[in-house]
Amino acid sequence: MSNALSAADLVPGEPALDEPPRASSWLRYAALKAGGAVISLVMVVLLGFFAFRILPGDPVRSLAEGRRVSAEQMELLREQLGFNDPLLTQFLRYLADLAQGRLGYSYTYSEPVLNLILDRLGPTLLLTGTAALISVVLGLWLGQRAAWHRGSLFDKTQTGLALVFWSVPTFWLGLILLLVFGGGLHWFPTGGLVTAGTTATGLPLLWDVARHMVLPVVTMVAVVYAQYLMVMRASLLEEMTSDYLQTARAKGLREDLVRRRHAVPNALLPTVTLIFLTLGGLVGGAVTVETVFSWPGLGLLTFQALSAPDFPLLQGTFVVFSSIVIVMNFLADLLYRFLDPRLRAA
Amino acid sequence: MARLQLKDLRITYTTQTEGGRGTVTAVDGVNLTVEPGATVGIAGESGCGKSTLAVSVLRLLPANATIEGSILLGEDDISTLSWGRLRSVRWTEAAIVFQGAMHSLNPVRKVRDQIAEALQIHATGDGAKYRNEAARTARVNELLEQVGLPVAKGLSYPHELSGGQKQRIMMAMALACEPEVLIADEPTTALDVVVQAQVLDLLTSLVRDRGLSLIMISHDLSVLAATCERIVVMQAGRIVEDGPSAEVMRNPQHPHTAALASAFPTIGDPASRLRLPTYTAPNAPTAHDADRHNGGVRTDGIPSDGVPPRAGSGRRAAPMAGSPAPTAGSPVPVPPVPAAGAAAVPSAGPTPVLEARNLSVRFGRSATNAVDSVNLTCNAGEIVALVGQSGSGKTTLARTLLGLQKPTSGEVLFRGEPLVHRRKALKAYRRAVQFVLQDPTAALNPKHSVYEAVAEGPRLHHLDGDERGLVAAALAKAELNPPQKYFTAIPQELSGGQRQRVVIAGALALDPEFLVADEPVASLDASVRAGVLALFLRLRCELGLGALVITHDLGLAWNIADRVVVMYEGRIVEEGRVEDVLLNPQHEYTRKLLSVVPTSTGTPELSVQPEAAR
Repeated sequence: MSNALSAADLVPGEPALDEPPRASSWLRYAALKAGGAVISLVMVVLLGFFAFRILPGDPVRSLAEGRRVSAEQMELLREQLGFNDPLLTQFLRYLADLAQGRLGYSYTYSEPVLNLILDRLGPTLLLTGTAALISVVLGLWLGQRAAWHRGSLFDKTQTGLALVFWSVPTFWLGLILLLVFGGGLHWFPTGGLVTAGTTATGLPLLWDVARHMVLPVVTMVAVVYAQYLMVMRASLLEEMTSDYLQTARAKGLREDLVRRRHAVPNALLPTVTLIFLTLGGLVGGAVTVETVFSWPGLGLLTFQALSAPDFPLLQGTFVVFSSIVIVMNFLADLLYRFLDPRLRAA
Repeated sequence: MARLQLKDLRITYTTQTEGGRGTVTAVDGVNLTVEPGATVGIAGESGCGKSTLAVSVLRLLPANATIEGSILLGEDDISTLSWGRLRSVRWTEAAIVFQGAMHSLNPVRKVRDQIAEALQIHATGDGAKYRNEAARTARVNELLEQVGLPVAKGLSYPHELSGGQKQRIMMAMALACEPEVLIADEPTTALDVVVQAQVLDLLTSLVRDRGLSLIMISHDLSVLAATCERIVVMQAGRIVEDGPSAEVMRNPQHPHTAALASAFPTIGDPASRLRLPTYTAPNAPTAHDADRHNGGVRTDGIPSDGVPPRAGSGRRAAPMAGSPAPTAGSPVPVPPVPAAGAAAVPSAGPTPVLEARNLSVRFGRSATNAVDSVNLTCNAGEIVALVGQSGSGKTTLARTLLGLQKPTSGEVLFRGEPLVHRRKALKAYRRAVQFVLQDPTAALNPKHSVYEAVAEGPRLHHLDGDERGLVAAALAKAELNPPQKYFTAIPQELSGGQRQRVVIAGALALDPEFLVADEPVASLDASVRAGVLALFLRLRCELGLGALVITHDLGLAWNIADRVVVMYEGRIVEEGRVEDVLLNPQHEYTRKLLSVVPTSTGTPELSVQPEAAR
């Protein structure tokens, strides 16, 4: 046999000394995704203006409802609010305001929209953040346990229960909880962020808020945790037949280590994307819960703006809700790439 | 004292079917003793129980398996060991090299962490020093060096490594806790020949240097013969033959061994030239030559995928049933084709069907051409084998010939006309030149019945005539008889060989002029491989259907091809008649390829290479 060509020369994929490829394109990737997010945001801003002009109803008429207003006064109000200008002029004004960080002026609250939104953002983030955290932890934990013991009593009861809760309408569940635990048993307050007229500060205030949060959080968790459970379960079931788990067992790992160290990290990859996609939606979904429990958040604000209708306010909440979804998607993209090494170098 | 002793081992799986509980016996009364330092190869086809046997040594069986008899590993009886004790025996007494080229490594963890993990969980007794992270790091570096990988490779994730490198990682992992017994389960499947030789070489030297006992599982007898002193052949859960490698290869006692051996031909042996257990080409070397060269290795029957073995290996004259002609359904005599005579086809005035002229393909901004100035001619009624290892550009060349990939420069000619990359022109072209893919399981839609799969082509191309007749004729030509029996079957219900025949039938349904097949038997079992290759040979001899067969398997070329084309780094380095190229190779690379083919006589050529002593 000739030695002119050594075996190593013949294997193109195996140069003797090369560093494994490193994540060099991280920045490029992040910039690309951020660019996409910005384009989506611009689209949202444009849509936000026109979408609400299509809504039926005359804001001035509803403002004047129940009061004695003459036709001239209504015409004057229209003039003041700028409704008589051409749509294009209104749009340009909207853009100019937006560029200066102003979201317009709410005519039902007689306050800048931005102030209203900032006031309500905190309670909403508190409510949805807590609910999201609990439902993600609960859903993932139940899901991976159900998959690992597939077909067991635990699996059957947990998936069954989760699906029942998922199919229940949010407002209905909220009302039932409100009636039973709020109205009937008086275990929890029936609405609001704090007890009306409270002067408590510090710990007693926190305790008061926590008690007010229980029912709305339970309602939100019950309705959404099922999807995390089902996705985690399906994703782990898929990983459970993988060869590398056999390798791990052969090495002598205990079953729970096989699950925690090898199976779950792989099963989490598709789940993480879904979690972030739904988190954005969760904030939007707060409308129902906040309305039922009169929680002073963005959801309730949106509901009130819709019933007016208060265009600037609606536009504002619409932009905020959409931005949250877009930001969450952006984070999901980044995180997925971080978690899955196969995507890092690509 | 034997390292491993299996006594009357029986492993059964309990299965739940519609008809109630059933049992499947995977291993049926096996007795096997492995002495310290012995190397034993276990051969057999998929489903013969060899993998079950291998994993049973560490009791890595699914919950529905029942073990009877005993598995003595050292002094422990694995079948009755407590779980805690079993876990401590795993990897320290015996370790398994899984088929690492595929999915045996965790994709989201760095490979060196996966090696270190084994050290960490067994950090008791002798290994207590590995509780210390620095000691683990040092040991992992040492292991990486021993398997011939730079330490930096340890920081890679599995997807960043080539198949051969992953297999080396698997070996480093297996050696981590210094086991006495090493079990290698198909360690080289899915690797190409050159890498396979390197991996086997490394495995042999590691085992020899440490005096380990090796149990190697493979479906390829020649691989085992090159690595092991002793070969055990399994069939349907039983050991049917057991003896020294050279003896088993030279003088197999059981017909199944003979069948396995003949499935991978010896290059240069006239007994396997244009001749397969189920079909012999009219122009094959005479039987006299064949008998002289092989000491009765040939047998008359291989249990193949539903095709009854033809009586004897004589010339078949019966025309195939059915024809896609307008009178579909009624048997029409197959028109005489250039191959009808015993004379070699290409010499009788070759008519080029498919040609590549100065063809180059370059991907993206890559510095080199995947296919580099290739000139290739495929004539009507001729089987051309395109040989090369993975990454040589052979698949890219095939895709370009099929019009699935636009060439960067050069052109493809079909019947002398340049191929136009426009929808209509391509559609007509694709009817005439059909593609057979490597993995039939992936190529067939799992939800489509066989009938749907075969009828799809004729429907797309609006072929006239009775659809049922067309489908039946195509299935019959692919030797799926009676065709009606297969109409409603879905791929899952068929064997691997039957699936590949369905894929081929799908191509034949369009009455193509030429076939391009990418590794058509690489994912198939030995006996099934022979059956499918026989089909290609028969289509060429009886219907005059030529084919370009892409393969890394030189034995395949020897079995069925008229001409062979050798590709290396995007270029064609050698081409010519099979006998000329394979028996008298001119190019360095061709010689190299031939030298790494494990030979069925078990020449220890691989293990004496100087680089083995690492």
